[in-house]
Amino acid sequence: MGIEEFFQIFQNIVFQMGIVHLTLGHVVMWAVGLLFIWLAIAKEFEPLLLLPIGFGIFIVNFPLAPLMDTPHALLRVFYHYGLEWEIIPCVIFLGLGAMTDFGPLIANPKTMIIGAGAQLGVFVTFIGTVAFGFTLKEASSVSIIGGADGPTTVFLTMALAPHLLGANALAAYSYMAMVPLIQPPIVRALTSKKERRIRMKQLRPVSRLEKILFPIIAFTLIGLLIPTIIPLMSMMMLGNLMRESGVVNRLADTAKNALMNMVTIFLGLAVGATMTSENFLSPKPLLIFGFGIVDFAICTMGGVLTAKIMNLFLKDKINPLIGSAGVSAVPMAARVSQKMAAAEDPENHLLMQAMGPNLAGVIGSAAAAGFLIAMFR
Amino acid sequence: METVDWGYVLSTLAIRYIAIFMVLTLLIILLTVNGAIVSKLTAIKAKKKERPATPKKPEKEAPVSPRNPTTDQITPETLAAIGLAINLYQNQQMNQKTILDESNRNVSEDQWRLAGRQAQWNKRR
Repeated sequence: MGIEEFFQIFQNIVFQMGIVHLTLGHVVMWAVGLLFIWLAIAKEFEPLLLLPIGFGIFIVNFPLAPLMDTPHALLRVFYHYGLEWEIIPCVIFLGLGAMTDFGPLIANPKTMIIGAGAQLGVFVTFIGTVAFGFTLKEASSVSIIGGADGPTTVFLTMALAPHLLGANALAAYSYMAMVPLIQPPIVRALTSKKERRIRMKQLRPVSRLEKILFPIIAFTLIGLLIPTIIPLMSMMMLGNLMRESGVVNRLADTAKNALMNMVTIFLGLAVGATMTSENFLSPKPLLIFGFGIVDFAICTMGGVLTAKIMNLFLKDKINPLIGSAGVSAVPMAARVSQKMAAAEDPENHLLMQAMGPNLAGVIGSAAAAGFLIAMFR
Repeated sequence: METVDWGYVLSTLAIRYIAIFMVLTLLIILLTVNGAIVSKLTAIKAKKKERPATPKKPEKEAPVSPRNPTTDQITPETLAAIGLAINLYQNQQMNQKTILDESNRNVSEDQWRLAGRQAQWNKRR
């Protein structure tokens, strides 16, 4: 072996090492990934998602890492089958359905209007993002962030603007975790002390038969009117029917625990894996984060204002604090309403009443996503 | 960059926002109707349960037992408990009379003396 040949081999070995290909972009993305891991561990911000997402960002930004570059790379497989095929958001909705008691919504169905009102931000942000140079499809995917529904955001983004998945999902889950920080000042600014002290009537008990019929009725209606959202809603209603029927407890239990946990791991990693330095280090993700928070604030305002408008016509007044629960961060937004009501009047328990618009928000944001997909796909 | 037809975008957005309200309003109507039907059905079922369909034949009266029904129903344990309660009540009355009787009000309330007196009284019994 000649000296030249030796140096050639040595050079090959060196060039096969990642460190030689390391760029500033990679290092910045490590910092971003580690920031989300820190937020998940130290601050407990949506740890179930931010931890795998953060780790996904961290590992995919190692130079030459065979994770996303070939069709059979590990994270590419998760991404392809889980997200491109739109399986993961639907499976998460199955688990959500199995977890959710729609009783408060069935007991007081008029709170559903609040869930619709809280979608205001989705449409306002859409206009703003288009004005900032986003395409119509991109604008749709960004605007749904304010709906505060992670799986719906992922579903819509994959359908219309898959290249924005990482930023959109990250913004959606981050702001969902920040509901207790974002909402209270907005709600306080829009309501008077007297309004915050309104006591609502106790909810009527809901029979088992009503709870069993709910998923069938709701799905029939939504399926007929917004077919684009059938994959999400069908899974959610199946999960809920499994829960309420009481005859397949094993399935309901698996859907809301084991299955949900498994897909959450794949979702987190696959979303994180899309955030390579080439994709993420551009002005668009920063704009998405900016629009996300504005969107969230307008959705909160929309919910509160809808509750106030409803009070003009209702005999039994609604506490407008439950309006902020119209964004579908379940059950965090409802808890914020309860906490704010208790701060004004410790005897005022609003949690169950706030769960109504909170669940309506899930249906409302899915409906908004369905309309946007129908409009732009 | 694609050109945006703002007129189309704004009008279709407004219509779709209103459409969300309409979908959820329809759902409210369906749920309200469903709730009313279910509660009516439940009420009818409950009424049926309360009021049997055919009037029952009067049952034959059971032959009266020659024994005294009130004392037969009392178990020996209950009797023992009643006896104990009466005994305790009487004892308490007696104790109160002796120790805390009006005539003994002049006796010092000193705890040691009081305890001694009670012990003596108990011995005497």
